[in-house]
Amino acid sequence: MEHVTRKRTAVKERAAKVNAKPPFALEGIDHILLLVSGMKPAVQFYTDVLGCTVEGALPQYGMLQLRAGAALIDLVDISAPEAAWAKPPVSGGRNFDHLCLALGMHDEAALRRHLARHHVEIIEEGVHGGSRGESLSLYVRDPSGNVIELKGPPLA
Amino acid sequence: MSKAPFKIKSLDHIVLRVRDRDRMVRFYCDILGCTMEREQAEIGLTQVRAGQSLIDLVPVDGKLGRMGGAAPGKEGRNLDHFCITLDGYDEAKIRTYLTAQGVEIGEAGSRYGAEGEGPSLYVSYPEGNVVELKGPPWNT
Repeated sequence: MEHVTRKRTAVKERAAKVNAKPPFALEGIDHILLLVSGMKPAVQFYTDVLGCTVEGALPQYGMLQLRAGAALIDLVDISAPEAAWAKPPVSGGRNFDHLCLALGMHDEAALRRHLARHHVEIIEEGVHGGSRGESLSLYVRDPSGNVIELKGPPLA
Repeated sequence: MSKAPFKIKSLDHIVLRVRDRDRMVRFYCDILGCTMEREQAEIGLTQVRAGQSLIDLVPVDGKLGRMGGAAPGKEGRNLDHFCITLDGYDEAKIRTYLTAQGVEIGEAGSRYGAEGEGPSLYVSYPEGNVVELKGPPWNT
């Protein structure tokens, strides 16, 4: 009998766990902390090519905070001794495939010319869905090999 | 001044490489409250919505995942963490809730995010990943 009661309690507890609602609502991605190897080329890419601006620096952690519209892209340079805290013990593992940036209205031809001028190769492109709907995406790599998807506003 | 012929509005989505898709969906949807947006099992892509952003989950053994190189793990990573802004930040309630869900909570503190300095806490989730949950800035 006792084990039946215990079982029932466990079932009830599991049900409570599943039914519990979070005491918050999610608004969106605030920032992302990317690992890069070499801060100078990374900053050049994110500012000159993508148009981010440097918003803050935490040199004691080997970190820079870049403004990307409503969000931040934080970079930590794992080749710097200050960033030993973030350096993975094994290199080459990838827990992240790519990051997609929502772009405002723009001239696609001008965007392609701009990337070419900076010798940034478009490694893939296509029309896919994003958080705002379907639109053209261009995929490029930052100097450390992180893939960035540049996505225009949804097609009308 | 950059001469980029476009302006970044925000981060649209982030694509995570995962080993166990079901476990990740349970974490994001059942625990954090993301909603299922779209599933494309044939290419190995699950998209969940976190407010105005999407979080895409790509199992490393699926069609998309196999194209993406070495599998993730606590030891190997290219993303340290990412942060989700919360509407409604009551640290005590969040702690009680997440602890009941069996989620490991890391350090809480005041940290700088896209909207300014505000309260946040780190949460560890399956496969050695870390997500930061962040409240509104102090001055609001």
